[in-house]
Amino acid sequence: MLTTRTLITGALTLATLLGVGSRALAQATVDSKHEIHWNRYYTVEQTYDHMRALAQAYPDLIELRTIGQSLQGRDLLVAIITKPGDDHTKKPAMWIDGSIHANEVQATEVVLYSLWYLATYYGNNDDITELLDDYAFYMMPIVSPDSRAKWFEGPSTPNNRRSNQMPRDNDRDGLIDEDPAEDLDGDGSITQMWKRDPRGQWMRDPFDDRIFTRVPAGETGEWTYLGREGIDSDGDGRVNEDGTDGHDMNRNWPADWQPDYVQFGAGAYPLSAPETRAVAEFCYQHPNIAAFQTYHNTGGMMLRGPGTNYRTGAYPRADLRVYDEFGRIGEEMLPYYRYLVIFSDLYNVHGGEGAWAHEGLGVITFTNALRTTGKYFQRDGSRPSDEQMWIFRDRLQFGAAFKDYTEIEHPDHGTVLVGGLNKWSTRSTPVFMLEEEAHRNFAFTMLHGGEMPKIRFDRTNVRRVSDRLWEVTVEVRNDKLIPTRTARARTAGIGAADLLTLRGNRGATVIASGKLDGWWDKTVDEVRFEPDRVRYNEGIGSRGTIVHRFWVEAPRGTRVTLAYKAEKAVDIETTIRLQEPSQRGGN
Amino acid sequence: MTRSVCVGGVAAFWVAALAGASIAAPTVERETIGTSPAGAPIEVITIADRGAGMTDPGDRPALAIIAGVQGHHQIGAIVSEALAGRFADEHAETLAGRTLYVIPRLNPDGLARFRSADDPAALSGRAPESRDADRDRRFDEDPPNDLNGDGVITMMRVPAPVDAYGLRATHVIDGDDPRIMREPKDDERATHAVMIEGVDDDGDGRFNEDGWGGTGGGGVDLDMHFPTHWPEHTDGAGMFPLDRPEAQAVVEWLQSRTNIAAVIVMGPHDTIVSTPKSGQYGPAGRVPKGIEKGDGAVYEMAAESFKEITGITKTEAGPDRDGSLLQWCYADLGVYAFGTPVWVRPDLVESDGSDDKGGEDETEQEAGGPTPEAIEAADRADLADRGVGQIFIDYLYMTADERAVTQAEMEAMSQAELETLMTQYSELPEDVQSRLTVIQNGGEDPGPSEEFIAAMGEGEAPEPAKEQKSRGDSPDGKWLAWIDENAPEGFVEWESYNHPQLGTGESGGFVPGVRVNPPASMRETLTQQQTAFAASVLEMLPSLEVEGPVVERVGSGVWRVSITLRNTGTLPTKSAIGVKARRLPGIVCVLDPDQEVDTGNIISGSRVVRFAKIDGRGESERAEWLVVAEAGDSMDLEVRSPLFGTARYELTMEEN
Repeated sequence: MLTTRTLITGALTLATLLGVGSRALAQATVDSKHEIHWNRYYTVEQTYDHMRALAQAYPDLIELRTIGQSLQGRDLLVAIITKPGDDHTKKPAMWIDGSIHANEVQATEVVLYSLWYLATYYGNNDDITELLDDYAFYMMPIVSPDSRAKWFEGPSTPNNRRSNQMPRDNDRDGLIDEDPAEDLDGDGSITQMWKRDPRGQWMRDPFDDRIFTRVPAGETGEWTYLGREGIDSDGDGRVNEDGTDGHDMNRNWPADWQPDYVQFGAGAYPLSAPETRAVAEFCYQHPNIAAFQTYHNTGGMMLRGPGTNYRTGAYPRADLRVYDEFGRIGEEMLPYYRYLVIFSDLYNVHGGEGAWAHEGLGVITFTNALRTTGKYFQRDGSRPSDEQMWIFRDRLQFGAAFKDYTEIEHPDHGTVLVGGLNKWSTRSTPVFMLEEEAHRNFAFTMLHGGEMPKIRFDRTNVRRVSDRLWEVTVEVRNDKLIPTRTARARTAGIGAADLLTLRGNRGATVIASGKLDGWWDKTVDEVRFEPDRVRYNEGIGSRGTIVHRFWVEAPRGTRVTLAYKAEKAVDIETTIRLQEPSQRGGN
Repeated sequence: MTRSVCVGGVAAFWVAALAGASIAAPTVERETIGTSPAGAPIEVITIADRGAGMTDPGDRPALAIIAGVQGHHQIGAIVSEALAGRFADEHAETLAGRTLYVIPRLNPDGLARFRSADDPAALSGRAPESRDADRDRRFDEDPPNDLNGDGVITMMRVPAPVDAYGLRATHVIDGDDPRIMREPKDDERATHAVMIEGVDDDGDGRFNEDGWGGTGGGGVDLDMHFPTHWPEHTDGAGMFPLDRPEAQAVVEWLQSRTNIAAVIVMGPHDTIVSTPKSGQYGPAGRVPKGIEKGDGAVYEMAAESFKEITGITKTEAGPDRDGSLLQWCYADLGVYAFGTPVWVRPDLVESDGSDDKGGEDETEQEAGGPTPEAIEAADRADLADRGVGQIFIDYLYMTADERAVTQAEMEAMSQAELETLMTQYSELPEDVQSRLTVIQNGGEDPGPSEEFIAAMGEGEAPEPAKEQKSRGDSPDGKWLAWIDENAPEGFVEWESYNHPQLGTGESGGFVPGVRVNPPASMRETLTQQQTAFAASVLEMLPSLEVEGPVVERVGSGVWRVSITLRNTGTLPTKSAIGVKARRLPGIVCVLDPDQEVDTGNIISGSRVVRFAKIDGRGESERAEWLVVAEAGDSMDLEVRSPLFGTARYELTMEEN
């Protein structure tokens, strides 16, 4: 699963991250207990059927949970996958979702692939096994099932059904959803309409009549462009301007949420959609979520927040170092993808899900925009030319992205031509490339998820100060890149502080304790109150440690238990005996 | 000839016009719109005339009164409930064509908790909820403690410093009245720390930091819990906006109404006596922190009426808070939102109504005319005030390169986004459209009009310097003077005792809520005042009179159809913020809504005509069409309005 290329690029700073262990060589011939074809797309029901089949095939690994109902009553289905028998709530977990924008279809397949891959290779691949042993994953392939259903049923374009299906007076005429799109040629897509017109400004290319070109100034052509396929159902002069699409659920989250007049599509209030509300409540109820990934399309991007320039303060330098490391390796794992910042590289987003996960939950979060045309031709360079795109569509997709022009009778315009690029044309990954796109993105989330905090007691030292007084020094280490408390979490006060405690029997009393800057530091910063129950709001940083010293009054031989609790790590505990000579190494 | 056909609520259009005529007695109905976590209902009382032939009260302009948002503000709940009980008897005439809604107890759990005899009373208006304010994994473990056992949580004054707890002295005992703790003057040294009565229950070195009525914790303050400028990750703000069912219920209910034109919130904030500032916005640049400039006149009119009725000329209420219901009602729901504490410190009430209000916006004036930066700033603010979208404002002031980027972004927009943008563009004021057109044709932005720039220099004259206050007495002193006379139980005398952690100290101070809730004897007067004010707001609401529709013959087979809509009320049919917020449509006139006539036969005028708003005091809007039809043909005309409902007229093409 590791390529030479990633090893070389990562080796300098990431030797520990990538690790080189024994690999189960059987991977190339592993059968899944539930095979899924990755060269096609799946409807809501087909996706859910695959999730149920996977849960049935791997009942010890996968638990399916319905976290709510969509606006139109469809189940909101989440798969929980972790080591059999483990309580997932007591382990760091990664949230992975897709298709909050339903037209960004392949997001669903990428999440479904991730679930399938983890289930299939658990026990067959050491890395995957370790991931599920250490961590849990919460996977929601379809956040907006109503709109996905609508997109598949049609009529759709590559761009509509981005919003949910909340009834809404889009054109503000007092009527709701009264002018939806009409699929006049019955192909499931909304394409273009052209009218033959002896004074028209367009002509059809004599060598390829799919192409309309503007005539030179002063000449007349044969065609006039009528706009999008459809009918002005409400007679207001505009076509398809008030369909069933409602709010943009990726503008509906309680982090810099702004009303509709600032942020188009924001929804009535933060989490007003049942779908976003269900996801948010699940996440709030699972403070063990320590990594977050959401999938979109298009353009090949690994995005992080903030969504606006005035929220940069929510991304302290320590957190950016974590993001940058994932982003840098990610650019190697995902050819033609770029690691970018939403507000400065893309556009302003208020109330986006990814920004909420970072700013509201305090979790390192990536939003991947799937699909690049760079990958179509597998070479760097500028955007592909029209000619290249026609070659791709004709020769590699066998025309599947284009609906040939056909004549239909339009109620307002008479005979018109309808056709053009269909809903699969410009945003979805071509099916023959889907598995690779899914795998590379899945691998990127595992790079990210595999760095959720993993803590252990490292060195401990016991020194006898006087007859009944013992000095106990303890070091707690986080082996991973993601800190137990992100800088965002600790500065904004999100979640509970980490907790280091020392408890002993036989009347052992902690009379003082304090924090040390490092193992060799001589003088502590005293913890004045509750020295036996120390709040570490700062947590344990990226591949870092905390060192703490207790002075304990107790008879020789007393056993004391040290415990460290972090919301985003497995709780750990170690017991030591107060006696000389000092013990080293812990555990 | 025109004949009206009742569809939905046509009669609403007429009720206002018939205000002088006798009307049936309004009736009062209660409905439950939500339930608090403790199981208490949240009720809406609807007071409206439901006589035969009347329209639904939801199709009439309405005022909503909301109280009991913060539990310690008991007086709001009491007065609003009393108001609801008597309004129909006392002010039936104001309900002609209008509706009054009252939600007396939005936070029933907080109201009950404040009154509860089971626990010592503490000054908190929150909705109770365990939140672990100090994030130490223990919930509500360090609340205030009633150290002297008098049943109320007051204050402690402790000689300071107390080094073990890092307590510093911040106050002195006032020389004139030793009951008063105040900050030291320049030549004094602070001697005491002042804190809420209590001990460090959990031994973490901090006092009362996690529990009901303490410095932190104890629940969610619903007045920090609404989405507008929500103070995220602040103690009391809640996990996310509207997490609490009470807050969500009121938002959903208000958003489900289209007819609410104004809201009064009875609570600790005041936005009536002191008109909120305009021109201040949140970080995104468009959501006001005060009010839109265009709504200032209405607020001042309301203030005048309020002061005349109540005599209140000032309040101690601080400026409205981020995340409050008031801010949300204004900046998100898009309606006039008036806040009043109902009762204020009695010496702030004057019977002669004289006032010395200050706080007008200052206008800077530069010598030699405004700078380009000043013009840009003023122009941006003005455009924002006029409801021009930020994207357009920004576009006006972009460099050519930035514009190229924006255009590229627009090409990547979805159909829905583009269409919304086009709608917004088509609704822009003409002068803005023409400026954009100039730019679009490759020209330079001509900028705002010369009149606009000239007017910038004509700011109001600066206020004369305020008189120095001659009285040195503090608000606390004035409260004590009133308490001594009227409510002697309202102050607990300082009494020394031995604090287990801080040593000798004293506890005492104002009884929680004594400065918020007046004695029962004053309720009747306050109810009368608020009832009268509510009536005055109702009377100001817009009224729509329809002139026509009229059919005229223009020539053979061509007819002119027109309709005039006149607002005879005082307020516009939409506030400036309502126009900007675009939550609801304006008034929409649709010729031939069922499309029985070929669109080609409507030869002039769009089938759908929209008016963002119609100003009050007799202003009007007119829609006109030219139609090709045979004499005797008939055609429908529909008028849709969020405030007034829908009316449909059947027109016949014939000479009048």
